[in-house]
Amino acid sequence: MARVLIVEDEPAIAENLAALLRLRGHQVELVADGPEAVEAARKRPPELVLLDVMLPRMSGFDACRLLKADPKSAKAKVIMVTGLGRMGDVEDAFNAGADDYLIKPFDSERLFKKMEKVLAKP
Amino acid sequence: MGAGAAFAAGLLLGAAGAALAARAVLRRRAALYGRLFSFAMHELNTPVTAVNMTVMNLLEGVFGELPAAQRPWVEMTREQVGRLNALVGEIRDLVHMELHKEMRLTVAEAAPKEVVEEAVGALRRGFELAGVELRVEVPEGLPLVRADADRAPRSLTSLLFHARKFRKGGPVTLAAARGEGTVDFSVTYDGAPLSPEEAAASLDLFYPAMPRDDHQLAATGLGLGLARAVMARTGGELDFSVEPGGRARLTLRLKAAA
Repeated sequence: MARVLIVEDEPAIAENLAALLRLRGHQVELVADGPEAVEAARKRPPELVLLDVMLPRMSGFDACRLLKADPKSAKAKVIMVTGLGRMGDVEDAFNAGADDYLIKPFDSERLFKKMEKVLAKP
Repeated sequence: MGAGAAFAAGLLLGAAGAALAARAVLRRRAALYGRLFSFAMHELNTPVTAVNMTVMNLLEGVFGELPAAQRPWVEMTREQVGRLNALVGEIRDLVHMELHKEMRLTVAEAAPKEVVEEAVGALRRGFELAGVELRVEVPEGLPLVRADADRAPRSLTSLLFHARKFRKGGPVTLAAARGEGTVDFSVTYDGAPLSPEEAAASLDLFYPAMPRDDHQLAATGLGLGLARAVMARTGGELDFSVEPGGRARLTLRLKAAA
């Protein structure tokens, strides 16, 4: 089971994700924007970050760069969550240091497959 | 530049000037519409995602066991949300192809069985509730395909929706088979007889609504046309053939991985 930081400004999505992950035994922390994510990851380094792209105050890409640049949070795996068809999002996610991406909407099976895959990476 | 300015340019510079000005106006409008639709689809995507997750969590018992009497209604909602999601994705792809003139796909190797399961997952219960038998035949040993992990299942879903919508009776069959350097996903059903020209036209983007005496529902021209256009960008092909008796076959050919 992993410590997961969910960075999502839409409460309905964040709460649903959290409920799903908690049911599977993961420890979940919720934040709603990029600066909060960076702060939370520094204080309580997660093993995995589910990071939305479109966020208030700071984009998910910038947040990802900061997370990966900070030694305290650099080891956390990052899955960027993006809307289907946003041109270049996937490329930009990898350029920002993300380990993988998920396209909204996604089902739990796909989410858990991605989580398993990135958490298994060295 | 607006239409008034283009008109003024025409008065001052003649026909050539008017044409150039009109072209600039149209390009600016297309770019504006493209951005507008992109933003609108993004805004729509968020509530669709939220509703989809809630429905999935209800079905998976995340919020406690779902009462048996409520389950069919939530399952029906799941399918409708799936349709809404597919429509949002299709319109978004259309905007990128037609207005932005650019669409990036994420092509990777995928197992045919996974593509089929992804496509069928949200539909199976809807077929049951509609009283339509859905047969799925995916043999073992098929090669991996080169596909966009989101759009390939969505295209197959479009074919299945089309079959369910336009069938006149009998089951709908989705079968995967090895082709020549491809894996061929075929959806077959008994529908209305169509001429080869009509069948071919059904795959055109913007195929107009088609009122007919022998099937009341109208095609929008979005599902099949868009599936063909998107799949072509991954090296895939979509064919539609209808036998004289109305036996219809939609075949999506995806390139086998090397």
